[in-house]
This record gives sequence, structure tokens and C-alpha cells, in this order.
Amino acid sequence: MPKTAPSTRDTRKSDDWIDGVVLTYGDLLYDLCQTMLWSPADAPDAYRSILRTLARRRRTEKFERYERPWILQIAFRELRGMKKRSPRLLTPAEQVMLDSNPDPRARLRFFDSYFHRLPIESQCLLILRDKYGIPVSEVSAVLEVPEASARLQRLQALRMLESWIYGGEYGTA
Amino acid sequence: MERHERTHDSETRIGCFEAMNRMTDALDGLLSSKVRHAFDEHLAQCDDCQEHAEHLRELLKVLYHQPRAVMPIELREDPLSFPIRRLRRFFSNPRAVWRDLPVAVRLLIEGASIAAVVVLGIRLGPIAREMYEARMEKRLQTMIAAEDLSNQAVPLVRGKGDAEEGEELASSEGEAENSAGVEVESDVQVGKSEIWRFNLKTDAPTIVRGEILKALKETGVPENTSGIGGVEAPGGIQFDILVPIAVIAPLKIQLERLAGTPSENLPFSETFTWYKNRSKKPIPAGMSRVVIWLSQI
Repeated sequence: MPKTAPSTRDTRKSDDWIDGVVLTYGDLLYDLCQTMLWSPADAPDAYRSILRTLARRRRTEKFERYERPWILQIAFRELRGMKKRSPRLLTPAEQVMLDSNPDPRARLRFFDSYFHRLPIESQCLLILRDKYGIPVSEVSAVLEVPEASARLQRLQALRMLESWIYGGEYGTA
Repeated sequence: MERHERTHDSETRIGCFEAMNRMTDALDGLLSSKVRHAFDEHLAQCDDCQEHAEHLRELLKVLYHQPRAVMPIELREDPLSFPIRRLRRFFSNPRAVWRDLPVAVRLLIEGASIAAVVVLGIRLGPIAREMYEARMEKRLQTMIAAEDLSNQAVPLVRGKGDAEEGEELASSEGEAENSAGVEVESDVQVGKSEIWRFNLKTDAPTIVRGEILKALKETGVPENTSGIGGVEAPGGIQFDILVPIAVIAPLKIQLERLAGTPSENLPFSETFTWYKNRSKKPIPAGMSRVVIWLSQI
């Protein structure tokens, strides 16, 4: 057997595996990138970066049963790092505009802006749980927190959003 | 905001705090029937909690209906910049890429390649051979013509070269006036008892010999001058002749011209240098010694 054969087989295997990931989780990952980074321009780079990390780490990390949380966990870590490096901050005018609008219906139209005031972990949690319907147990594995903490975090995030959009002070109820 | 404590309604088992804590579970439908009943009862009685529940339900609805980003088609097809990946793979192991092709395609490519090579060989072989033969014939004709010309004039003598002259040159090195051969004729000043040395490097000394004989003749060197035919020495041909002083300047110009036009008629190239030094041996008055060295490149 020539020496190059194993590496070729590995390369082909890796390519096939990446193709499979793209097919199965590509849309979810891309939407996660765009929503969390809040930037359509940065999403493709983030998406590629996640796939590269997946391809690299797959060689060293064995997983058999929990592929989706493993992939999402890596994606979340990548996106958290990117968000920290280049956060998109609201301008003071945008902040004033968001806070001064008295009508909750009008505020709901700026749901994105309120959503991105949340911590990155809460954003990820709400996207995965409430936009894609992924079970909390899996989301807690993605965020690397206990399941009960993930539930509480979700409730807190929703209450926070409620207080921003519908008024009232969070924690008074 | 009004707070409803656990004691607010003795019939319900949960208060507002607990109801809020269980709100997301209730909205997800994860509560047990008993707790669900208590939760519903609390909501029926508590406007605040009901309002919160409505808000959260609406938020969850908005979240769920948030637009989903559509991945660009090129990113879907080439998630890792596939062309680069495939190119890298191809260069890292082209054999693997070749093996991946279907057998029919491989056979087709192989057959077409062999056919193309055969056809090209048949078509281009005779043409290439004809061109080569024509070129060799032309070169041979030129060499024969040049050799005939040089042999017609004066026969070439075989000898050892000028080891003696080398010694002489070394001994008189201190008083030599050396210069590269790019000067014009007005710069040529010939003194008494001088040896003028011209060096031509060439890949065809026998051909250049004929040209030099022609140059010597044109500059007025008598045909019966001793050594005018040159001496064949290891590494080239040497001319060592005594010529009138007046011949030096035109001879130098002729040699420079010969070196400067390598590609017009002759299939060779030369480089030309010259210098002069004083001779220890006596040279007749009005005469100068010329040494032309045609070295084989």
C-alpha cells in the first residue's frame, strides 16, 4: 500500500463529513452566524471559520452520539469569540430611539435591536430553543451549563425582552 | 405592579413568583397536569401573570417567526472555498483525483491522449527533422566556405603557442599599458618596440582565421610576411607577425568590427580585448609586433 493512501482516504473522509455537516446543519449554522453576529457581511466568514474548526477538531475529538450539540458548541464558542472581538454596538441615537418609543407594537418592529441587547449566551439560547425548537437539555450542553440554569437563563432573557418591549421593570412581578 | 403572594388565594397552590418561574415550562407544555391546573387557575385569577404570559407567548411567537438567513448558493456549494480545497487536494495527490474519476472517463481521456500523441508524432516528426537538417546543412555550408577561404590564402601552421611570449609578457608587466578594446581609431598611438596583442574569443577559430587573413590583407600587410598564416596552438590559433607601425590602427579597427558583428554572416560570436606592452627583444625601426590570439571558447 503506498504511503499516501491513508492520508488520501482521510482527506476524502473529511471532505465527505464536511459535506454532510453542510447538508444537515448548514442552514442552522449560517442563520446562527448571521443572527448572533447581526451582520450579513460577517456571516460567511464566520460560517467558514466554524467549518474549518469542526474539520480540525474532528480529528482529535471523538463523538459518536451527540453530533449536533458538539457542532453547535463549537459554533457558539467561535461566534462568542468573534462577537467579543468585533461587537456591533448601537449608537446613542439608536438607543434613545429604542427606549423612547412608547408603543409596544412599534417596539416589536425593532425586535432585532432589543434582542441584541441580550448577552450572547442568552441570544444563542433563545435562537436554538425558541427559533429552532432544540430541546433545553441539548442547548444546555451547547452553552456548557446545567439544564436548570439554561431554563432559568431562558426565562430571564424573555423577561428582559418583555421589560424592554412592553415596559415595566424586570423582577417586580 | 401588584404582587400576588402565595397566600393571595388559598385555593391555588402557586403564587405569582412560582407562576413566573414556571411560565416558560407552562408555555412549552412541560408541566404536569396537577401543576398545570394550578398554574391555569392562578392565571385566571391574576391579571398581571396573565399579562406576562401573553407577552411571553407573543415574544416566543415573534422569535419563532424571525426571518431565517438564507445561505448564499456559492457558500452552500463551496463551504470551505471548495475550489482551493480541491486544487490543494489535486496537487497534494493528483493520483487520488484521477482515481476518483469514473472508469469510462478515464479510458476516454487515456485513449484520446494516446491518439493525440501518435497523430502529433506522425505530423510533426518529419517537419522537425526537415528543419533540423536544413539548419545543419546551412551551418555546414558556411563552415566549409569559411575554411576554403582561409585555406586558399595561407596555410595554417601547427606549433606550440607562445610560452616564450608569456614569459616576456610577465617580465614586462610593470610597464604594460593595458586597456579594454572599445577605443576609436584616433586613440591609437603606436610607440617604438611595442607588442600589440589582440585577443578574440570565438567558438570557431578556423572561420575567424579567414576573416583575419582578409583583414590583414586589406590593411596592407604583405602576403609574404613571416607567420601571417597563423599557428595552430592548443586552445586556438595565434598570429605573431611583424607589421609596419601604420598598419596597427586600421588593423585594430578591422578586428573590432569583426568582433562587433558576430551574427550577420558568421555562425559564431567573439569577444575582443587588446593591450600593448614593450618588447625586450629588439624590433626593427618602423615596425611593430602584432600578436593576435584566437582562443577557442
